[in-house]
Amino acid sequence: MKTKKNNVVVYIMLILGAIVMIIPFVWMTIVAFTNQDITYNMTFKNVINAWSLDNFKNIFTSYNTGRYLFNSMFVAIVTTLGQILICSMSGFVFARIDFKHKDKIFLLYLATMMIPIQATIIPQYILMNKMNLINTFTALVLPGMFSAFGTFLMRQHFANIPKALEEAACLDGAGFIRVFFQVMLPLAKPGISVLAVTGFMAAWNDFLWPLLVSSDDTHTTLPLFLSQLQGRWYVNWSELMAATLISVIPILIVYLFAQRYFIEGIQNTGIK
Amino acid sequence: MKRKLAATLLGITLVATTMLTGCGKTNESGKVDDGKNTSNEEVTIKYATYSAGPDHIKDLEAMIDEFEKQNENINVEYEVIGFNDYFTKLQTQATSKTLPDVFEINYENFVTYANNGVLKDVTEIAKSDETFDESVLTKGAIDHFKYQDKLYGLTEKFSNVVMYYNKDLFDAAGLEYPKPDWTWKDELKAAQALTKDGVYGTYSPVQYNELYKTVAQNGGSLFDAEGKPTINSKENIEAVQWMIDKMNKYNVQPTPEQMSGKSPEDMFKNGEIAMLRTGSWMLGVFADAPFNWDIALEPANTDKVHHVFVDGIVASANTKHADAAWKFIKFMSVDPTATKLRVESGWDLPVVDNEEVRESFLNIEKPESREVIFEALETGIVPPTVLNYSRVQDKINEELSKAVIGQVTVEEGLNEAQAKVEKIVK
Repeated sequence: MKTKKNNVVVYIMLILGAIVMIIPFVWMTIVAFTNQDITYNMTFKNVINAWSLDNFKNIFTSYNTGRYLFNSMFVAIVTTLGQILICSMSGFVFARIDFKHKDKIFLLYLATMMIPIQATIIPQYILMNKMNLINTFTALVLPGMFSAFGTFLMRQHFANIPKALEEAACLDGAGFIRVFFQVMLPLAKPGISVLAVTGFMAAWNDFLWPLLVSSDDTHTTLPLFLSQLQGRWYVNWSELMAATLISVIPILIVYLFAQRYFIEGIQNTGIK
Repeated sequence: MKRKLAATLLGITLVATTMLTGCGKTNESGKVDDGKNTSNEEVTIKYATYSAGPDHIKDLEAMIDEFEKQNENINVEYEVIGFNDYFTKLQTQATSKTLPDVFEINYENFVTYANNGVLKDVTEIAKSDETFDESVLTKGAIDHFKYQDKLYGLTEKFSNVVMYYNKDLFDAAGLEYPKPDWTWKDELKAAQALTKDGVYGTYSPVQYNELYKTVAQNGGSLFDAEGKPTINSKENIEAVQWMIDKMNKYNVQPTPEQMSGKSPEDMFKNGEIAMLRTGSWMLGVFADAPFNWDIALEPANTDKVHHVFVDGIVASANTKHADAAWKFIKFMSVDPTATKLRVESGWDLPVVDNEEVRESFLNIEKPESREVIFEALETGIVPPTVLNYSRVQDKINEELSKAVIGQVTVEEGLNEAQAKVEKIVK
C-alpha cells in the first residue's frame, strides 16, 4: 500500500513539473502557427480559426531563412564531426599511451576549461582576422573542433575500456591505427554520442562567436537571425516564434536519435 | 616505427589542411580591382546597420541600389546586426581595428567612440565637397555628430517620443482629448477617470531614457552644463516621485507585476492602456489597431520637453576609402531619393528641412495629428552626452528599479545614483 501511494505522488509531481517545462514551448508553437495577438484571447476556438502557415511563409520569403538553416546545420555537423575525430584521438592518446610529461600536459588541457570564453574571444577574433579568416566557414567551425571537455570525456571512456581488449587486438596483429579505428572507437560509442549531442548543441546554439565572425548573409547562423528579428523598439513575436520553432526542431531530432546512447553513456561513466 | 610514422603523418596532414584552407583566402575588402578597365578605381565599402532590420532591409537595399547607380565605382556591402548585440560586435571590431568603413551609430554612443579615436575626422572632406550644402539639414542637426568641433559623420534620421491616446476610451469616459497645454495634473485627472475595468489610464516607463526627459519636464536635469552629475537635485526627486506615485499611490499606471511581462505597446494596442508615451516608430505598428487613436504633445510640469533620438552614420578611422565613405554618409543623410524612400517606408524621419518631405509625411492618413511629430522636435532634447553612457545608464536603472519596488525611497535612490555616477564620470 505504502509504495503505491508514494508512486502516485511522485508521478503527479513529475507530471506537474513536465507541464510547467512544456508550457513555454506550447505557447511558442501556438504563436508560431497563429499570430501574437492570440496571446490575449487564447481560446481553443480562436486558435483553430487562426491556424495558418503564414508566419513560416513570411520568414522564408522576407528573409534568407533557408540559407541560415543550411549554415547552422553545416557548422553544427562539421564542428561535431571534427570534434568527435579530434577529441577521441587525443582522448585515446591520453588514456593509453605514456609519454613524457603526459600528466602535466593533461592538467594544462583541464586548466583551459576554467578560462571563461569572454577572456579569450577577442584574442581569438584578432587571430582569425590576421589569418584572413573572418567571415568564412573555416572560422565558424575551427575553434569549436578543439574542445578540452571533449578530450577529457573521451579519455575517461577509453580509460574505462579494459586493456585486455586492446591487447587481444594487438596479439591478432592489428596495427596502431587499426586498433584505434576498428576496436576502440566502436567500444566508445556511448562516449561518442554524448560528445556528439553536447557538441552539436553547443555549435547549434553558439551566438557570440558567429556574431563576431560572420558579416553577411552567406555565413549567418540561426541564433544570429533570431537576434536580428528583434527590432530595436518592437518585436514581431509571430515571426520570431516561427523562426525559433524552426531552430529548435533539428536539435530535437538529434537528441531523439542519440537519446539511447546518451543515457547509456551517462550510466556507464557512473557505474565504472 | 611504422605506426609512429603513420600517426605523425596523419597529424601533419590535419594541421596542414587547416592552415592551407585558412591562408588561401585573400582579403577582399579594400583591394583595388585591377580586372576592370574603368578610369576610376572600383571600391567596396562595408556598412553596418542596426535600424534596417528586421523590417527595412528591402528599403536599405533600394537606397543602396540608388547610391550605386549614382556612384558607379562604389559597391556597398551591408551587414545587419540586431540592436541588442550591435555594440558588442562593434566594440570587438574597434579593439581589433576592423571596424566597417561606415556604420550606423546612435547619439548616445557617439561620444564614447569619438573620444576613443576610432572614428574618421571628415571635417576636411566635407568642407572640400562642393555638392554638400549644410543648410539643407534642419537647424542644429549638423552638430549632432561633431565632437570637439570636428565633424565625424552626419545625422541619418531622427525619431521622437510623443503621447499616444486611445480616443475611444476617452469618448466612453466623456473626457476631452489631451491638449497641448496639459500639465501632469491634467494628465492625472484624466488617468484617474480612465482607470477601471482592467484599463490603466497612463503609462511611462521608469528607466533612464524616460528619466532624463521627465526631470527636464520639471525643470531639472541629470547633468549640469559642465557635465557634472546633478542626479539628486530637488527637481529630479520631485519628478521621480511623480513617476513612481502614478503606479504606487494613484494606481493609474500598471506596476511591472500588473503588466506581467507584456510590453506597454502591446497593452496599448489591446486597449489596456489609455495614454502611452512611446516613439514615432510605433506609428506604423499601431496603424491596424482596432480603435481610434491619435497623438499629442506630452504633458509636462514646468517645461515642455520631448525625447529626440538621433541616428547617424560615421566612418571608421582605419577605413581605406574615406572619400567613398563620405559620399555614402552624405547620400543616406540628404539625398532626395533616399529621404523620400525613408519617409514613405516609415523608417523614421530624415533631418532635412524640406517641404516635400514634410508634406509626404503629413499626408499619410492615420493618425490625424501627425504634425505633432514635428512640433515635438521644437522642444526636443537629445540624450545627455556623457562618456561611458552605458555604465551610467546601468547604475541609474539599478537605483530606479529599487525605488520602484519600494526597497529605497526616491531620495535615497537618487543619492546613491549620484554617488555612483560621480565615480564613473570622474
